[in-house]
This record gives sequence, C-alpha cells and structure tokens, in this order.
Amino acid sequence: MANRRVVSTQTRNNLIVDILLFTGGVLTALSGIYFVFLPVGGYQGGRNPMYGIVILFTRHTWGDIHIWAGVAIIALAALHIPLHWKWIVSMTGRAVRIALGKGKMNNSGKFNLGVNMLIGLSALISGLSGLYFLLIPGASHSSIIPDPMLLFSRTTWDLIHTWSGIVMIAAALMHHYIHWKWAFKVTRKYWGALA
Amino acid sequence: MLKKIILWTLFAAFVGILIFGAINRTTAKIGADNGL
Repeated sequence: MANRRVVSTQTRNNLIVDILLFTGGVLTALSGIYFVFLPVGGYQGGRNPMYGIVILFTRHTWGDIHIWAGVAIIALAALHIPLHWKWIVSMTGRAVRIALGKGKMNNSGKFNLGVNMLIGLSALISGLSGLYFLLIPGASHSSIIPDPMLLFSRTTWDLIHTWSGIVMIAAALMHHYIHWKWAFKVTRKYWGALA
Repeated sequence: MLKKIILWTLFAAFVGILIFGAINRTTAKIGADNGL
C-alpha cells in the first residue's frame, strides 16, 4: 500500500488549527467591523440614523456571530499557542538577548517577531475584554442590570475591546502576508493527498 | 517592488477604514455616555 502521508502530523495539526483560527478570525473581524460602523442599536427616539438597516443579517445575528466566533478563536488560540510553544520560548529568549545588546536578528525576523508580539498582546487584551462582556453580569450594553464598573465603566471596556480588536486585525493581516506561502503550499499538498 | 507598493497601499487603506470605524464607535459611545 502506498504511503499517502505528504505532510508530518505536526504540520497537519498546525494546518487544521490555522484554518479554523483563520475562519473564526474572519467571522469575528467582519462582525466587529459591522459594530464599528453601526455602533448603536435601537430606535433611540429617532436619533439613530442606522435604525432598521439590515446588512446581510439582523443586528442580533451579527452579535451572535461575533460572540461565538470570538469564543471559538479564544479556544483555538489556546491550541495554537502550545503548538508553537518552542518558537515562542526561543524567540522570546532571542528578543531579550537583542534588547540587552547580546544578540542579532535580520530585519525580516525582527518584523515577524514584532508582528507576532503585537498579535499576542492585542489578542490578549481583546479576548479578556470580550470575556468581560460575556461573563460579568451587567457588563453588556443591552443589559438591564446597572454597570458593575469593574475596574472601568462599560464604555471604557467597550473602547478597549474596539481598539485592541482593530490592532489585532491589522497585525493579523501582516501575519498572513508573512505566512501565506507556507499556508498555500501545505494546503495544496494536504488536499492534493486527500483528493 | 510595484507589488509591494500596491499591497502596502491596500493595507493602509483598509486599516484607515478600520480606524475611521473605530473613531465612529468611540464618538457614538462617549456621546451616549454624555446623554447626546
């Protein structure tokens, strides 16, 4: 029987997690973009010019997409990080050595490291602020419970979530620009073997 | 080189749209807080 395996198990696992992460990321980003351009729901006594506008789905459905795709990418990031743990440890060590003037890295390596640090930091802030809205009673704008004011007001949490999300989308685009050749090559190999 | 310029221009335009949207949301949320 011919051996049909064309990519290693580790590469296959990386590819599957990356495809799911990419899909979840696109859905979260698209629904997030919906909410930056249509920030307020409801009629607002006639003061909301966007009231009643439907873009593909209702506002409620966009909210559901944002929540569930967001939860999925948090779960997938919890797999993606251990899968790349060796790289993270090695690059953190190198970054510290460079910062101390004891190591060297070429410009593309520095760019890649900078982009990944930006994704990691913005994803952490965006994920935590998203979980705040999801888990803390009264944190959501639509809640009838008074604002719990945990550390910040719900508006401040909202703006932290919005801006960290924008930084994450921009950094994720860079990340895909850097790695698209790997993704294309491995996807073609893997699907070619399955066909 | 031209490809890089085009890609960076598209990236800058897209990020510009995102920043515009985020400012839009920031203004709306702060306005709502102030009862506007």
